Amino acid sequence: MNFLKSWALLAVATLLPVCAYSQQAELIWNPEVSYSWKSSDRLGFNTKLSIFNSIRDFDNKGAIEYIEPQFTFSYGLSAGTKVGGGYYYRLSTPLIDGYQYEHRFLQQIGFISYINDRRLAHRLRLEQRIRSSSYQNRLRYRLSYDFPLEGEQLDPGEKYLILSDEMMTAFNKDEADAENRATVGMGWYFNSKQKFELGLQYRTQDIFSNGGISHLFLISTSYYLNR
Amino acid sequence: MKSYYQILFLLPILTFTPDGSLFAQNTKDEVEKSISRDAMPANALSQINQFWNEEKKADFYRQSNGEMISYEAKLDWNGYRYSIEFDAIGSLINVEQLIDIQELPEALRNTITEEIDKQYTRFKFTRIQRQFSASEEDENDEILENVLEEDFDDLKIRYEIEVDAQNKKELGSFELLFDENGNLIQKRKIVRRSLDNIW
Repeated sequence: MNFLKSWALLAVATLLPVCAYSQQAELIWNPEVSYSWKSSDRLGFNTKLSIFNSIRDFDNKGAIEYIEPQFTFSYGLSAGTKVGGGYYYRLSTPLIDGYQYEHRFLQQIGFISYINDRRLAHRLRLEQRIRSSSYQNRLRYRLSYDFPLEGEQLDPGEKYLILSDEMMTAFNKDEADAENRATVGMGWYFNSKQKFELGLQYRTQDIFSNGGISHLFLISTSYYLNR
Repeated sequence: MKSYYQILFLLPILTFTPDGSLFAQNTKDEVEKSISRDAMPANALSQINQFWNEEKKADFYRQSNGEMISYEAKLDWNGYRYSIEFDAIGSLINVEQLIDIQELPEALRNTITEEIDKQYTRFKFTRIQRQFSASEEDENDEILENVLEEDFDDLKIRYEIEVDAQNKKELGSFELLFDENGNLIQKRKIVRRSLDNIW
């Protein structure tokens, strides 16, 4: 129960700034459905559908900022090291005339370590974003930690907590910028094939921009299925 | 717009509606719950209290595999992490001591390493536990006393060794059980949770 209290405190600590910045910050609800499967011990695949909804524009055509189908694969080099790649397609503002698209290619490497069922993951990702009007590279590093809230192992029907922070830099030949994403989330582990996560994310964007830092608060509801 | 959001809201509700078939497949899995000291069987507590000060921190768990219920106390004592497992009425089943690979006698360590070498092309030790149980079934109540006195003559000793390993066919974490002479008794793959949310 102490963990639950801690999570509640973290959630409040995250939500308080949401209120404080509510006048300037972007507010997003991000539902996601993910499906993963493995063809061997080494080779795994994932497909995901991710939608960005603007809470401020809930009542108009700007509500859907983008819809993004994703596909990634991973190859295990060792028990704790994976490399992989993938492709995302982003359709921006699909309800507004003159929508835009983005093709995104990614390459990544991850290191995962375990202490019982507590997991610490490092992920380094390189992305190429090909937009209808521009091109951008992005280098991202994410540190994630998730752990069961009841006992040392995560059993069906139990909850877990996930914390992560991701730093990234985006650049092309004309400009460069940086962003940070801090996330706290609670997960419901239904069984080995299904789980649900509720996450609260705070993004510090445009860190090097002359226009000043911008803020984004994101509530994610992610449903994970795996075979 | 309204219908779009109705679908988005309804989809998770429909998907999360519990379906018996989804959960039925897990009933045979071992499930561990953290419990309070008071929820432990009295007989188990009295054995622990013989050497363990109630004020000192210990973690207690209740395990169930669908057929059998057992209780476990985990505590640090004399520089080691111990897991002490009891059955439903508090009779001691076994004691596990977390050790370093270097603490195994050299000959045994070499025998075990050679056996793992045969199984995998690459491996790394991740967790070693020395497991004490009674040689005779009616001596279960003496296991803890013998472990505390380091009198191992009447105990059956096994080694539960976890490795991250790979060969041509397999990749992952494995649990290998060896007897005190280094003979491999059992091998099983540790099923890890999907990494889809952190990878």
